Amino acid sequence: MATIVLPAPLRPFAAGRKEVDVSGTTVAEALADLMDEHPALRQHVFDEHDQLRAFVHLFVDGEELDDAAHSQMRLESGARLTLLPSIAGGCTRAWEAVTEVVVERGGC
Amino acid sequence: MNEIAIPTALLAHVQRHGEQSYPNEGAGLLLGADNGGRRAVTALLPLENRREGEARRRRYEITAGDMAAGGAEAERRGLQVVGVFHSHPDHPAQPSETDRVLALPWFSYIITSIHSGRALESRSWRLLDDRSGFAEETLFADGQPAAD
Repeated sequence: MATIVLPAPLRPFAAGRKEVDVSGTTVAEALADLMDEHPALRQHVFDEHDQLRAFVHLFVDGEELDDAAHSQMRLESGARLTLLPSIAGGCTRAWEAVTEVVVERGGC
Repeated sequence: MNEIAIPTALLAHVQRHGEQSYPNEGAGLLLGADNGGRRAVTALLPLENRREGEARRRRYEITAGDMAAGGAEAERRGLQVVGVFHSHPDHPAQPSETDRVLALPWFSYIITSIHSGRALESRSWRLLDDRSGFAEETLFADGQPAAD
């Protein structure tokens, strides 16, 4: 049994919980169990290719995991797996109608 | 429509930060409280844009480490991180497709349009739960709508 710690923006999709106890012996299994328990989280944690979204960073007991190596890392019982976001954005792509109002198209 | 309130002085600080960052994008964290979707910003945490070189003109990044530090600072003040502010140099105060792809749910995103180094307007947005786009929220500065 491990505990996954969620950042504030993800808690509304996990019944408001900051921490969720999960089963599984690896990081991947723990995340899968979290998604099973709170499926509304999936679209914000994983992309359409089932890869972790670029802004999701994983820390086990305070140490950040390498993205490529994280999935099969074993989790000790009682481990704390923290999901911490980075924030990014900008105007590198042409404007799209991503808001509820009409957005002017043009280069950026 | 959701609402977010910010003191005029803090909104002016957000806009100055965008002007000082021009022609690059500037960014930081909004600290405050959330009460059932109605938000009040009571402090700012301006941050360095972690993108490098020319990329700063069209991108911004706040690292996970910055987020951890920001969260700790908010907690120390009895607040929480309720969103992010950033600037769009010479572009509208509306989310781009890049903003959508990289956005977190729940957070408020205050975007300030900076034209030729001067702040034009600030508007606030939240990602829709299905990630298909953003909904604008009413941005109040000292009780008055900050944008038309």
